[in-house]
Amino acid sequence: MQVKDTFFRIILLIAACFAPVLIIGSLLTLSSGFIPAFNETGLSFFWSATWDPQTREFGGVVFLVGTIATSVLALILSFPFSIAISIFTGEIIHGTRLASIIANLVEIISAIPSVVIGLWAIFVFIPIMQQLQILIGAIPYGTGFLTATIVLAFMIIPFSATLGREVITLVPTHIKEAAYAMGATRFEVIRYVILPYARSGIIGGFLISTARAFGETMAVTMLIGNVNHLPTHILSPTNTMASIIANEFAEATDNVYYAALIGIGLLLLISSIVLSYLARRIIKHFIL
Amino acid sequence: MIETSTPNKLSNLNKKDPSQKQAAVFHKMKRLKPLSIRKPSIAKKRPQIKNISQQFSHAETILSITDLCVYFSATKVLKNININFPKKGLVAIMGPSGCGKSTLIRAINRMHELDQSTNVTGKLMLGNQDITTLPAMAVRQRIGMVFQRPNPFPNMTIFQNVLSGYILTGMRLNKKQKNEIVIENLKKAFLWDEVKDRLHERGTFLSGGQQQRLCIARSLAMQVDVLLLDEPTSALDPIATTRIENLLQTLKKEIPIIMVTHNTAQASRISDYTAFLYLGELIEYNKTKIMFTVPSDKRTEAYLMGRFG
Repeated sequence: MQVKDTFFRIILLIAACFAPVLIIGSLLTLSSGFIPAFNETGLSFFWSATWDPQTREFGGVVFLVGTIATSVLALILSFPFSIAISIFTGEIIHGTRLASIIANLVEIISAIPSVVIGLWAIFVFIPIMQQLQILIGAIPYGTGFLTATIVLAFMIIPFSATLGREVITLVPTHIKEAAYAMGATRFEVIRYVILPYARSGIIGGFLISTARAFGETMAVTMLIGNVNHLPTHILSPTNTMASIIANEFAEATDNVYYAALIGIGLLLLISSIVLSYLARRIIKHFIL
Repeated sequence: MIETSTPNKLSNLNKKDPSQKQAAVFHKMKRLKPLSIRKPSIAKKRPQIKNISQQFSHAETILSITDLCVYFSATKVLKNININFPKKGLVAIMGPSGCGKSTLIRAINRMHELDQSTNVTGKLMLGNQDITTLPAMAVRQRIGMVFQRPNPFPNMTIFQNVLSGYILTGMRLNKKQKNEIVIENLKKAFLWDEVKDRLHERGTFLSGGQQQRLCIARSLAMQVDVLLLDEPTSALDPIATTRIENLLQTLKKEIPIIMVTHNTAQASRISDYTAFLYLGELIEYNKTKIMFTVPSDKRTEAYLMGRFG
């Protein structure tokens, strides 16, 4: 028995260490791969906004800003829809056929390959955006920051909506009844009892959504315009960290260029780690 | 009557005639006959009143229920309940599991409206007002309810829990009013001394009995006309139960209380009137003292003797 226990323990330990080791390993690999570019650019890689492989100027700020801005705006855009889906399917029509139909359809969004969403957006959404841009007198690129963000917002809805719905259905009936018995209306029960009770899960859902938006590559690459400049206004094309890697990795024949793209990967990994750390801090601050 | 008169008779008879002594002894023995033989004699003395409702005058009645039926889908769970609750005192509603006692008080508080498969018909008068025509929210603000499981709001402090009725319904209070309401109602619920130093901690950190008293305080804070309790002590230990019972005995002087209980001993300890429900029907409703000594219905007697339930 003792031997079996020890054996089991070791297996679990190895399995549990796998993920942390992987993270540290990728950090090391990316860092070492980044060295040739770092030698060329120095620290300016982290604050320069110029990315020009021709003149061997590599600055990652455009992409960092692009990723953070698209993710944050997508999160803000998806928020009302996610929360509405969560409340509607998790509380208001909970248990009905319609609720499970809506919930399943929302979950299917996450199963659509992002390249398919990208294609749909190119053929359907971009023409709409172009019409809009013509209407307001802007240059009708179609692609651009706003286009990518709206599609991204749509893509991250299922993560927060599904988790939000789950935690809302988990709110105990006796707590809800207590609130109703005090004479609260349905809105008041949702506002003052259900949402506070489910808050941690709802925030968790939005964090998963943000993480997903951070790393989303294909659809964003197809829609953002891939111009290595900081966006001047909300419609202008720009670029993100994931997109620049996907777009230029195959063309990077030059050693330093290659290393600079690995450096962008490093930047993406580090910013994701910082994001999840901040997220955990925010959760602790809100919940405890 | 028998208890007091027989010894006198016996002593009188002894003086007069020894031959009658035997008869007197026999008479005494008759009282000791086994239950099965004794029963008919009690049955004869059963009071005719099965429902005391009519004896409450209009002024004495706080809540009057006429022809209340509750259906769960197609099943009729409550069958034409007619009952009046007095303005003074504690009414216990007892009965075996599934007899509809919780259903009855949940119907009073309109909790069935949360479930669309449930249908309620009948008339409910609170004082002079037909509350079936009022919106459920308004009714619930006037009729407080305490549930089987203590359910303080987990995201609120003790202080906020007492004020939760005002918070939930968006009523604004100034700081002074808030403090007054909290102190007054925690004192009423016998909870003030235990929590006065930690009013701003979460209500869920309290013990079960304290949580239940907090729930009572929360209902009292709304200045309700009637307080409904749905088996308030069934999730509590004996000591917490005793404290709640003591509390209810004090509270019933101020506010009419309707309490569901499956515990007949509890009903006999603290209630003034008892209603017995069986299979969705109101079998008997009378003063607790009368009902527990001479029940008018065989089923009540059987239930009180623990033959079912």
